[in-house]
Amino acid sequence: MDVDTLFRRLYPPLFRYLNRLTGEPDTAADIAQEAFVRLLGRPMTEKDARPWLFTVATNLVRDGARQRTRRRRVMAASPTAVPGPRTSPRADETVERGEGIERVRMALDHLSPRDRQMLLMRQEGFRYREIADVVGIAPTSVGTLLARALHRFKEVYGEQRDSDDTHV
Amino acid sequence: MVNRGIPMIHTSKGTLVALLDGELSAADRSGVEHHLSDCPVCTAEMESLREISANFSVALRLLDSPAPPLDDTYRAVLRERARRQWKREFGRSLRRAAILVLGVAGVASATIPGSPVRDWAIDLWDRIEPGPERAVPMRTDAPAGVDAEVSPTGVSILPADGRVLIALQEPAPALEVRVRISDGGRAEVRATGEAVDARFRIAPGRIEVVGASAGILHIDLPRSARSAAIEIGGKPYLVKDGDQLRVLAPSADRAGAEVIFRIGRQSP
Repeated sequence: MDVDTLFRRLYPPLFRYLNRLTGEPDTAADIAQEAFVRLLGRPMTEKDARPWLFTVATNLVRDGARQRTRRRRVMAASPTAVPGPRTSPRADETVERGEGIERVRMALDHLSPRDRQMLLMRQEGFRYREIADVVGIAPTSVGTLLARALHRFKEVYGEQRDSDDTHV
Repeated sequence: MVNRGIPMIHTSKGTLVALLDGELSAADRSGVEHHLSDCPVCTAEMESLREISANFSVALRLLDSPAPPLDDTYRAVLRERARRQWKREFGRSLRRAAILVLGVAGVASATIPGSPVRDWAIDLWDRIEPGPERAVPMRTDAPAGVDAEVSPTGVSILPADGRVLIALQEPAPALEVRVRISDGGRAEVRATGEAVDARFRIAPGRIEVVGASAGILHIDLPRSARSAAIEIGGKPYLVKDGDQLRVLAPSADRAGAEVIFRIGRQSP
């Protein structure tokens, strides 16, 4: 498969995965681009390139993780813009969507980096053997860890929604 | 059919998720589905997992943003790749020029018996260019005559005349190397974590691993090899002595049958 076709097939899911992992579209775009720059010159089939790209990209995310955590704390501490009377009628929906996004992000942040990566790779259709290879665990452990991570996400996400509802 | 008095063994959540994801073999799937048809507890858990998984997918979609335009991004990737290649080539040209100067200095100083300049030039030469006995062609596939299996994260080869050498060049200080003897007939190197960006060079009976970043390199040395060794940065770290691994490095740990080197802990 030529590089151009490989790029068009793999860049969108890689960007989506990184955006979900980092919560920052600009960072996701930078890292996805860097991963592809490193891929060029290594002849690979799509089947091999996909796990390789996701592994390299996740490692790049990990390298910058501390900086992003600091940045997100600063953003969360800032007051949310309150729409004035002349704002679009859909402002409430926008604010609600923003709160929803924050809930999902916080629930993901409560997972360990490994569990977060595994759940997001599962969402991208990776097989258990591929997930195991990338994360560095036995394939037989993947199901158990995914089940725990899903339950953990549900606990934290559900708690936040209940908490927000009681404050309405 | 419920067996009264004998507690039913329920299916683990991990197995149920694997069933949901289509990861079970046909035989295992059949067994689990048969159990589910008779176990309301596991059936309820299965439905719960299905719902949690679906809700997770929906929640994730809240996070999605449009990707940058593909054409622009692809052009940026190609430009950056070209820039880095130019930078590497320019660096190589500078090194070649330095080698030429050193060569001339070395020849000139060789005429002086016992000259320390001669020794210095030889030492510097070895550090800039690997000696002819270690020169290995840069390949991403196996050269003719070498039975090599290559994957994106590792390689394996058969010994040549019963001998195997694994040589690590430019490893990152945070790299961990784990070595064990295996009963398979092949020498294998697998990279996990950040080490997957390592480059592999293959020659008969030899695997070179270049530029492995922080992560873990797993090395299996075949028990059947008459001689097997690991070098890091040109220095011998370990040899296989019969069924034992003899450590020559300054610092190593053992975990069961595995020898573990942490590159950053090796004293110069």
